[in-house]
Amino acid sequence: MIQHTKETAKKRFKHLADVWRHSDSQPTEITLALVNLLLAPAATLIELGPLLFYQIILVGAGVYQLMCVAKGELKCRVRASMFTFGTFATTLMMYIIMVGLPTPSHWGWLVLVFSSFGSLKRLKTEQLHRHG
Amino acid sequence: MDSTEQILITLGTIAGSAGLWKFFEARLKLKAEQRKDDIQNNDGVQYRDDLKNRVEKMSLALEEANAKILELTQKVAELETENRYLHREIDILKRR
Repeated sequence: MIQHTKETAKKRFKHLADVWRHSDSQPTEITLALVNLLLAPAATLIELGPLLFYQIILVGAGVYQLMCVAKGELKCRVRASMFTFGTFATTLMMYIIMVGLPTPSHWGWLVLVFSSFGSLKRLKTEQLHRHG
Repeated sequence: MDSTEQILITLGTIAGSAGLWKFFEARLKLKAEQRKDDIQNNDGVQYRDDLKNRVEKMSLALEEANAKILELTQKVAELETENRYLHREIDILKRR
């Protein structure tokens, strides 16, 4: 019984890992781009104050990623995802430096860093599978 | 936070995360190459490739053999006709 439960859990975990590694990443890319375009600038403007250079970069990264997904060009999507990962890491860094991560909801930025990294990894895997 | 600090933090973190990604990218590429090598050196794949080569060679040999059979059939038909005429001529000569 315990052995069976262990095996089932192992199988489910493997399936989750496969989905994480190989599933289609466009919806995640669009969500992350929208977060960069709308949520991140608004949240940082309210909580950290005006940081013009950084907030312009956030909007730029969001627009660029949306453009790449719309174009459907894999190379462009990989580049945009790398940029998005960088901007989420920057957002996390800005929070840590300026106010820290005082409430559990602030840890959401860390989740977004992981999510953008996962999306980037999936895209790179796809690129390697397609072009070797 | 002044604008210089802001620019430095932004560019520094983006550059740092790009560096981190480059490291992971190199690892992913290495793993993909290893997987490719494993597949190429796999016994089953080698056996399949060997079978493919043998099937290709055998189909070529079959085509050549078909062409030769056709040629030989034509020659046999020609020889049969020639033989029939020769027999007829021998019969005529015998009657004389």
